[in-house]
Amino acid sequence: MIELRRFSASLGGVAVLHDVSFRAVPGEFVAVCGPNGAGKTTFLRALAGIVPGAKRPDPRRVAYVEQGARCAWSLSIAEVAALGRIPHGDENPAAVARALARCGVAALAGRQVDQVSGGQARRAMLARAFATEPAALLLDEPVADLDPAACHEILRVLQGFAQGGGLVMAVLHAVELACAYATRMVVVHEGRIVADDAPVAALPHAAKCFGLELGEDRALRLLPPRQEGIF
Amino acid sequence: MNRASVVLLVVLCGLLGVSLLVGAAGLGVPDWLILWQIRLPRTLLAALVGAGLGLSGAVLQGALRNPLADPGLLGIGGCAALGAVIAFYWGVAAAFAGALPGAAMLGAALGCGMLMAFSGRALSGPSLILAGVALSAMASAFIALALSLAPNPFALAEITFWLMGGLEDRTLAHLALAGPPILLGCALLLRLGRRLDALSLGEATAATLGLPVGRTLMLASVGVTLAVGAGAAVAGGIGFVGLVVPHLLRPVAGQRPGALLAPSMAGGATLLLLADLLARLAPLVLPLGSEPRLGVLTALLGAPFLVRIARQVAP
Repeated sequence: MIELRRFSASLGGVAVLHDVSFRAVPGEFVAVCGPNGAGKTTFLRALAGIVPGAKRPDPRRVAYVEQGARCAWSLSIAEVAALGRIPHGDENPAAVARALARCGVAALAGRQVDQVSGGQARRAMLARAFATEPAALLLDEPVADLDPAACHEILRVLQGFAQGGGLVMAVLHAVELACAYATRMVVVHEGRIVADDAPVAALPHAAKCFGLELGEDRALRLLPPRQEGIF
Repeated sequence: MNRASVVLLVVLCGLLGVSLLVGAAGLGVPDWLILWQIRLPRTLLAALVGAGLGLSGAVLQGALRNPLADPGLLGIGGCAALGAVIAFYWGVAAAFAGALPGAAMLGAALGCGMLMAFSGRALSGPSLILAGVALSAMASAFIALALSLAPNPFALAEITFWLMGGLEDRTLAHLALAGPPILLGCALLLRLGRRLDALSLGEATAATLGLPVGRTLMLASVGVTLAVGAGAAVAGGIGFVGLVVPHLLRPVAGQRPGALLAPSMAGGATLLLLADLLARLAPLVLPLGSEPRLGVLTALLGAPFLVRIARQVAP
C-alpha cells in the first residue's frame, strides 16, 4: 500500500535517512514521532515520492499535505479544496463539498484562504487532500497550529478515515495525542526508524529520543527542566 | 464567463472597430487601400501582440508564484531585441522585408534555448527566474555594446527608436509572419491553466498532485517565447503590459491563476489597442511631429494602475 524499501536520502550532501524500510496497510493510523531534525519530514516526503530517488505513488490514491502548507494566491477555501480534484482531472463538486464538511470549513467555503486564521487555513489544506478521495493521507504536522479542541476534532476525523479503511500517516509532536488516536507509532531518530509498534509500546523509545522522562502512569510528561526554587 | 469578461470582450471589439477608423488620414471610414493595407494589419497586430503579452504575464506570474513576474523577466524579449539590434548593426535589416523580424524571432528562439541550458536539469521556479535575469542582463549588455559601437548616428537613432516599440507602417506581411507563432504560443499557454492552479500550492505539493513541474515550466517558457518573441519581432520593445494586465484583472476575474489566463489575453489586447490608438490620435490633437512610441505609452498608461494597486495592498 505505502512502502519504502531500504531507502536512503540526503539533503545538501548531509545524509537524512539511512536505509529505511517501512510498510503500512489500509486501516492504520500511523503517528510519526521524533525530535526536530530526526528526518520525519524527509521520511514522509519519501513516501509521497518527492525526494530524489523515491518512487512516486498514484496521485489519485495518495494525498500529501506539507508542513505549513500555504497557497501562493488569495484563493477561496472552496477553490483550494477543489485543487484536490486535479489528479482525477474532474471537478466533482460533491466530493469537494464532502471534504469541506468533513474538515469543518463548509461555512467558510467562500472566504479567502489568506484572510482566515492559521488553523482554518490548515483545515482548508486538509480539505484539499480529502477532496482527492485518496486511499492514503500523508500529513506533515496536521494539527500544528490548531487549538486543543480543534486538534481532537481533526484527529477524530483522521481516525474515522482510518477506521473506514483509509491509511493515515501523520507527523505528530504531541505524543499524548498520538497515543490517544493512532494505531501505530513510528519513532524516527537521526534518520533511522528506532521504534515501530503500538503507541504505548513505542512510547519509551520516543521518550528516550526526546531525552524526557516517562511518567509513572506511562504518559509522556513534558516536564520543565529541573530547577530549584521556582515554585 | 462572468460579467467582467463580457464587458472586456465588448470593449475589445469596440476598440477593434474604432482602431480601423482612426489614423493619420483622419477620422471616419478610410479609403479601402488604407483600411486593408495600413489600418487592418496595425489593428490586428496590436491586438495579437497585446494578447500574447497579457497572457504570458498571467502564465509567468502563476507558474513562478510571483506577482512581479512578467515576460521581460525571462529575458526572451531582450533576446528578441538583441536579434533585431544585430540585424540593424550589420545592416541586414534593410536587406529584405522579413529580415528584421526574422532576426528578432531567431534571437528569441536562441534565448529560450539558452534559458533552458542556464536553468539546469531540474527546472524549478527559482532556477528559471535566476537564469532569466542572467539572460536578460546579457542581452541588455550586448544591446548597450552595439549602441556604443554604432557605426553612425543614424544606426544609433534607428536602434533606439525600434527599442521603444511601435506598430506604424506594419504590413500584412508582418501580420503573416508574427500571427501564427503568437497564436500557437497562446494556444499552448491557454492549456496550462489547471497546471498553474496546482502550482499555487508550491512545486512539491503540485508534484504530489501528479504535475510534471519541470515540463510545465518548460512548456510555459516555450509558449512565452512564441507569444512574446514573435510580438517583439514586429512591435519592438513593449514593456509593462504583461506585468500590469493580470494585476488589473485579479479583482474582477479572481485570483486563481487558471481563471486569469483568457481574461489576461483579452486585457492585454485591449490595453495595447488603446495605447496604439492614443499613439495615432496624439499627433492629430497635440502639436507633435510624429507619433509617440508605443512602449512609452504602455508604461505611461500602465504605471498609474499599478500605483493604485500598490496603494491597495494590505500590509
